[in-house]
Amino acid sequence: MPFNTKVTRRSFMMGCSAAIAALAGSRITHLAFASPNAPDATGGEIVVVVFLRGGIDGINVVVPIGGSSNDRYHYEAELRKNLRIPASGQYKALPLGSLTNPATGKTTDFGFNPALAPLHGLYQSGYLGVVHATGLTSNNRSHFDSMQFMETGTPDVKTTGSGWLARHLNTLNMGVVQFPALSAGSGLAMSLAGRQDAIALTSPGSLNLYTWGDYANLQKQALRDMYGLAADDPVRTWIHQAGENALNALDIVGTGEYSPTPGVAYPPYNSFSESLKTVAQMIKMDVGLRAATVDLGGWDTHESQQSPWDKDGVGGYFYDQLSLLARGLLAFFQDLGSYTRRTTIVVMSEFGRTLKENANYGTDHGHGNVMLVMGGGINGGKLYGTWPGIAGDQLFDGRDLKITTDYRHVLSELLVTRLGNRQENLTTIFPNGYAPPTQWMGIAREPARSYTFSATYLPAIAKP
Amino acid sequence: MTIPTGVAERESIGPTLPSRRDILKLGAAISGALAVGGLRDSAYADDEAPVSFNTSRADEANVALPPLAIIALNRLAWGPKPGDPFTSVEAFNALGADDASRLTAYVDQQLDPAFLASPDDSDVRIAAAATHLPSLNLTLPQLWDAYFKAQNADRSRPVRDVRVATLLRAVYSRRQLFEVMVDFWHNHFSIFAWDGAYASATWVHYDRDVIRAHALGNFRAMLEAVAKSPAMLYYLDNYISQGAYFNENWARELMELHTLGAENYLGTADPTTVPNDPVSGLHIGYVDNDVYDAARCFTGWRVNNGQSGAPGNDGTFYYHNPWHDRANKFVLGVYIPADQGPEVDGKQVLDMLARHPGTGRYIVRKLWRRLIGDNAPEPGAADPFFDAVAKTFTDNWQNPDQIRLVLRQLLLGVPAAGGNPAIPSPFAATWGQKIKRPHEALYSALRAVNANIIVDAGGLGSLWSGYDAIGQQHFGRRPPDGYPDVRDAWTNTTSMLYRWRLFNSLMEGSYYSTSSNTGVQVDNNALISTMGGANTPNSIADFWINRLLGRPMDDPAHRAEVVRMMQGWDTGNNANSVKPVYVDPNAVMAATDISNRLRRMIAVILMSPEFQWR
Repeated sequence: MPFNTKVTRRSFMMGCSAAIAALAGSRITHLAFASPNAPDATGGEIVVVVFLRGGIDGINVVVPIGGSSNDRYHYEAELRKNLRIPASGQYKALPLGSLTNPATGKTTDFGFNPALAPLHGLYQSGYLGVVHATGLTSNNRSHFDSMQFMETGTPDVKTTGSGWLARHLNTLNMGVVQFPALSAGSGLAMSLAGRQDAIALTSPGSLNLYTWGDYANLQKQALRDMYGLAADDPVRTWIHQAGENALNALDIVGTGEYSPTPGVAYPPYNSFSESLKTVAQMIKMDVGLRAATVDLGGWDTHESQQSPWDKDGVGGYFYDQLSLLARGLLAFFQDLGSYTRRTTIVVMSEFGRTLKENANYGTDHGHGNVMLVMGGGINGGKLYGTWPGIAGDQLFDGRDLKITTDYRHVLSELLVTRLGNRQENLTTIFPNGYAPPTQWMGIAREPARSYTFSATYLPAIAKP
Repeated sequence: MTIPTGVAERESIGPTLPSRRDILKLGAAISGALAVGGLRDSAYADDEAPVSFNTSRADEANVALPPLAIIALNRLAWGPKPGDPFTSVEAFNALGADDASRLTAYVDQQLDPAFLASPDDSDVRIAAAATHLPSLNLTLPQLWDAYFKAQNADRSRPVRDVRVATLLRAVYSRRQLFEVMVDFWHNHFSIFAWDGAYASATWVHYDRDVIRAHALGNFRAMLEAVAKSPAMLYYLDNYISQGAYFNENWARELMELHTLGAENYLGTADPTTVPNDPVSGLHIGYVDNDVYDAARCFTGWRVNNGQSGAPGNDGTFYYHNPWHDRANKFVLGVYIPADQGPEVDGKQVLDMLARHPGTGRYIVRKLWRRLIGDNAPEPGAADPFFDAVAKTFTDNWQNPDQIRLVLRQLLLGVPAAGGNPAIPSPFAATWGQKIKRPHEALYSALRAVNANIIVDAGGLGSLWSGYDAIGQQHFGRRPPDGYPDVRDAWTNTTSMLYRWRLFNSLMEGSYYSTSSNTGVQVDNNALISTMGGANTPNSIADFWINRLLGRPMDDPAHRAEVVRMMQGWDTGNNANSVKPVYVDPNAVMAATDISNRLRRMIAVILMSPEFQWR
């Protein structure tokens, strides 16, 4: 009995370049892991947005540790008596460089929370940059509103019908691509809303139909025949097309277990790693992925960010969560290997937290925050942004880190300098009167490099 | 040293909002809640049309029109329920000698207050599950006490209970059109109910006393009930709106989403330049100034929450005069004088919005999208039928049976009146434009196979945990615009795969491969006993195709796939084979083979394109 549960080579290749189509005839899995150094058939840069849900405590991620300003004093003596990250000693923050406050001319030195040790090497070798005092310039401390505004790219506008990443792809002129967009999670990120061809999956393994054993193939073949009608079939409609798209995704992505690059160690047993692996797999399959989103929640640390016995900021809930983030990102970067040349990773969160810790060893909803930017095309090893200071009269609303860099400025710069979009599209990607920056900060690096995984795994700093 | 469970589990330290935190902790879950199927209603899209991978999209004209019973029961009910005395195909066909009389009889029966007043299977099932649905019969003050004020209150209990009751009613109630309209109004006056605060704690009140109480009645009355509900007051921030520091959130959505619609929004123009609508005497549309002044009209509409001068703390609506902006206002061309009595300003705004012809057009357009198809006339387009129904809505804005009247015309046509000829409705001739949304997919499948839903202490949680991935968590739309009701929002990869998976899961009796029963039982023996002795691949397939779809499949090849599910197949590889193979589709099957294959075959029918239309 002839049956073919896979998408045909031919139907998959439709729309791809002639050069790639010439490969037709080989099995689909041969396409995977094909040409790591070459752009995919549509020649593209990939953006991976890691959204830290809940509002990460940015001042304890990239920490003021010194300089000619008094920020370190404000930080450790006034704001974070219990939650401070030490500037010296065994568990001191890992130095990054300094920023100058233009208003005072004073400098502030910064360091990574030691939980970010896995990323410090990437910073030092220039693959990772930090933007401080950035975020959503909205007078809003609601998680949901802020996430929505950030992801739609329209501060204070609740009725925007699509996400900024979707509009990036819509304006990219990338031609026909099989799988341009992916949310690694159970649902489509709001930033991708509006792309009919975006897919959302927790892991390729999640793309199954929950049938078992012998019936699975039989059932899938039935679906193929019922939805995969020929284009000129008189009963073919939009619903058949939708079903066929889904079955193609099932075939191409749902290929079972993924094996990361040998030696790469994703943190085990958590969904963040699964999401990152899913994205890595999709990137390496060269099926045209251009934008992916990954979520990591758990940052709404109103209390017990660390415990009284977690000395010097090492250990405790926040440290562990941050360590998971760092180890996951490092593994992802290592796993991507030479694909890092055309991959840009942006780490963001809906808002920072109050500078002053609360009475419960926690922090409440705040304002300005940090963003991390990683990639082979990133001019890393530097701090970006304008540091506003954290003295009393330098704060937003008297309590929070000010935002001196609109998060859209950071994304705009990446869109134009790294992601293949054009300056004139920025007001489409970020509508409603947004004024793009007239000068870039210089985050992009030309030419882009490929990161080489040396199998030198940097473990998180040992906990006391 | 670990705190393995993270933050949310430690939330009970203080009387804060655990469910928000639970959500935030689950990164994946939140993006689902926020965005699946999401934000795509074209009415609110401000960008170009989404670019689709599909370059050619066949027209729905390719889809054959099914029997009217199938159309009516998929759009004016949650799908046919075989054997049901009111909402099965047979019951529909017995209502009259021809299609027109059947549809008329069905609609009139479904709108009949006496029919709606009679208890039915859903009432019995809800009563039987009463211990697992403790919030359903509580008054608003009781809900407030038990689920908001109480120490460690289970604040999402009422919304969980309403969700289960909604499912039971959708599947078992004979009041099917009423339930469809309840769903419509919930989505129209959409609230993110899982807030762990006012909305979730009082959700029984919002569902019962606001939406259900008015679902077939009067729009103006429903509007005021919405405006005074603690759920909406909290969700759109009016409960803290005061004086010069008014919050415009409610007033803006009231105009943009609930009444006039964005189609009647004229931007930031000078209000004195907006022309009058000749019929109502009101401005033809609204500008930002109308939003601001309407917001001022609603200042002081708040919740009796024990704070800031509230006289009590029982969760009810109350008007707080010290917070009311007493100065004069100017809304839709009407001068609203200063120092009117309690609630007068706000009620005046609600009156104006309810009688504005733009509201009638906007609501009827949405009803058309819900009950007929995606082909509702665009704003401004001349369409005598649409115009007549919209006029009926507006003319009857004070009629207690306003919504009934509008539905009757929209579905059955506008009768001849005053020298104007009758205009038929496109209802019966429209098909193939819409795909079932997740609610419809779930309910219609459960009805089609006469599933038995067992409510347990877990409130069907394991069903929901899988179901929500499709993208229509009940009462879970985060933005205030409601889930989109256009087909493009529900055809993405995730939505398609997860809907297929849902059907498989329902037929397998559990959402995941082994444990975690969903509370949904589909009895194999009961399925077999209904087949009237069918025992060959052909006869079994044909029986179930007819029972589940009410018509042949669109393509003989589709039927062949269904038959093959019963026939089995041999790939030469035991792991991928279903043996024995009944090569002759008319061969009598062994009882064990029927039993083993039947559910998987039914699942394929449910997964077919034919089952997805509405």
